[in-house]
Amino acid sequence: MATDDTPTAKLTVVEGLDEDEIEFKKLRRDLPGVKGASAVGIVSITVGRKPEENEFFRTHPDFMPIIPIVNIEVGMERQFFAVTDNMVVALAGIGITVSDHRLYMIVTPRGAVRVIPINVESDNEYIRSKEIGLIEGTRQWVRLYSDRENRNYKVFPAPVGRFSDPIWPELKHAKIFRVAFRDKGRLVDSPNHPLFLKWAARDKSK
Amino acid sequence: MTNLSSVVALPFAEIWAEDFEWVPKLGERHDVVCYGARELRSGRTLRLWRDQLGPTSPNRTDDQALFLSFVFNAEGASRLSLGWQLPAKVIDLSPLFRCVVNGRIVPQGKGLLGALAYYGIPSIDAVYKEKIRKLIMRGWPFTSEEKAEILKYVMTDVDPLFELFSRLMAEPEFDLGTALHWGEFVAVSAQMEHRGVPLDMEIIPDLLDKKAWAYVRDAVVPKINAQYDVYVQDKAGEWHFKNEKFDALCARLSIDWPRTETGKPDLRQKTLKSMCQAFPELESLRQLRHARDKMRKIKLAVGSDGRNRTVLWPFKAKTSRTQPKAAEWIFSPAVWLRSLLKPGPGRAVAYIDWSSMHFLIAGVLSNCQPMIDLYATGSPYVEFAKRFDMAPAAATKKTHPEIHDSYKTVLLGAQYTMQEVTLSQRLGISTFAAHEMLNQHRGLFRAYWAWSEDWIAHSLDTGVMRSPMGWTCHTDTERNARSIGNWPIQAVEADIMRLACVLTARRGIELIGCVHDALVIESAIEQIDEDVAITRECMRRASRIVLNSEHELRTDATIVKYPDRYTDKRGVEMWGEVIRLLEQYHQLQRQKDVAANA
Repeated sequence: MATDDTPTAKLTVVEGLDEDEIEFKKLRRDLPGVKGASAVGIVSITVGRKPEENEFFRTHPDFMPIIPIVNIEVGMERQFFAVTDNMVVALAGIGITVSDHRLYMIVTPRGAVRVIPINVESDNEYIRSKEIGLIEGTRQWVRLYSDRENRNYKVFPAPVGRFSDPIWPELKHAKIFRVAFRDKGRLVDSPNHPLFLKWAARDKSK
Repeated sequence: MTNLSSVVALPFAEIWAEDFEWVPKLGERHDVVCYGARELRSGRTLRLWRDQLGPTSPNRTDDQALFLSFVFNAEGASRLSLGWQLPAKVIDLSPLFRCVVNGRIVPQGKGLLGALAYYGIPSIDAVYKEKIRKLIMRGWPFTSEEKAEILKYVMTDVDPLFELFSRLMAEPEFDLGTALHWGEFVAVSAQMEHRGVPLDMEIIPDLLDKKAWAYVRDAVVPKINAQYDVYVQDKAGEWHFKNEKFDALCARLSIDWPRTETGKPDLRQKTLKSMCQAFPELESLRQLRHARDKMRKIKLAVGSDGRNRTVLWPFKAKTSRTQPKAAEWIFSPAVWLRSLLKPGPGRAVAYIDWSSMHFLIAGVLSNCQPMIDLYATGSPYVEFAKRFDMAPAAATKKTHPEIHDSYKTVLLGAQYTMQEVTLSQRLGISTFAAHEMLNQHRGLFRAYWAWSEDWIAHSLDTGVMRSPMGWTCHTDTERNARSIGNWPIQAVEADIMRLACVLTARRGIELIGCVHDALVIESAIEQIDEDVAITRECMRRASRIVLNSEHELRTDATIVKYPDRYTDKRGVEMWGEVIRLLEQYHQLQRQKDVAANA
């Protein structure tokens, strides 16, 4: 039994293949364009304080809006609530601080999408170094490592070629914001918003 | 009145519908009973009993005559058994109908009666059809009444074909060029069925002999079991597989074997096959289990001329892959049986397969550059292993075949959305390492995963999937995301396979079989190298056409020349043992004969 993997077709015999190729190419049709089809089903995007520790991510290079945000502890978890401009004063009136946050959208190698708000007014070293990592993520795959001694994050780039270019969900920026905040009831846009009423009630009770 | 205007308008001088009846005999060429045919425009009718069938086709078969049939590989094989030429232009209505209803529920089935019922075309009833079918299967001789009945019956499979075709032409999927291409492929399938695969006739009779095979089945156990110790013999001498002993074996080999819901080892065929890719040392045990449990009797369809012939069933799978009955076909899961494949004197057989076909097609469809780049290295699976330092930098498929096999499992398994626990079991690595590999796969081949998700979403949204060469599948009954995600890759493989068969047959190469990623050809020893080169060129071109010129699949060829036989490395040990036991059986028989004569 002999094996061989070097094709050496005799061209004199296969010349007719050129005509056959033309004949069959006429029958061929491209597959339907499916790009973005799965994005239609996205109804929620997680908003989190930081990327998962040590998980590589890329940051969307264009989606970086600055939004007024209420950043509070809910149970054991830190949660972010977007606020419309007209509600900033009203919230201050019940003792809730609103601060501007820049939203970064990241994607992991396995395709998990997350929005990370960064308080632009903060001078905390963790937050600043986290933002440096997020900005670096627009250029290459990086991961954050918590450096407790120096009280900041270290930013490690992934080896070249380890991951391919990120694939972003085909979503308009407005929809990203909508599914990350508004559709989850996390956009405080009126004094009748349930969260505002809850916070106001808590304030009254004090 | 049926409107056949669309059929009448086709640019052919004659349009025939035809059907043969024949007595089926396992492994043999068709024993034709009669022929029925009608020409559409002239109404010319042929209703001929076997003694009226001449040495040549009674109707013209050039490219000006179109032939309609339902399952033409049967008609083609009948024509070839009579020494008639195959028509140049064929349209097989079976794949056209299957394409229309693929993935949908068809209450009356996908046969001719089912197709006629689907379109509300009057037909004979199933009971009558079954009665005549049984009569024909009974075989010769037929009384004059039976002959009249069969000749009447044959036309019931001919007459509705024009109307059925007109209905199929009205379907949005219909394209004349595609229908003719598929018809040509079915005609090539008929040639393959007619030719058959040459087998070793010195051994076949023994394997088909119930007593000899029973002896081998029982005797092979202690020999192979000696290395595994998983069978126990009862007082009556019968061997039984014991799960507890198998658990002990896995513990000895440090294999974390998958379990069923009840906690027993999962010993399904597909699990065994997949695990054996990771643990090749278990391959002989797998072959043994298959031989004992699935092969109470060897059912290979072997003709008196020593050739394996069975209906290949083109287009049978949802992906349009050819799907012959496994028990009757030499290229079945019992890989040791493939050693029966042996060309006759002066002849040679070549098995030519596409390299890493599934992998490149996935890369091309999703336009995933890292996949395409990895394929270009020539050893995608080994190159992927190198990324984890699981293979030396200089390793190739040839130098490290075991790494190639293991990482083939990883890459293909990941494409089938295998989870880390399963992968760790398959490779004998930690769950953590398997998790990292799958992460790496998802990260490196992100474009593929994004495309796959989009493909699934698009298919479920639109309710239909289509391959580049026109095969379609509806998602009415197919809602499993894994199957939908994998469908386009297998459908493209089938597109390429059909095209390669047609191109190869047009060059006059003797095709004798096709597997989902390989062609099998036969020719004279002095001709085989040239034929292999032509076939490989055809296979390369076929991939280029379907993948749209930019990418081509490589091929590997294994040539077997008389007096050698084909071997699959996975079945070598089992084959050797079977042959040894057959010799032992004959020796015992001779001793018994001598004793009886004394």
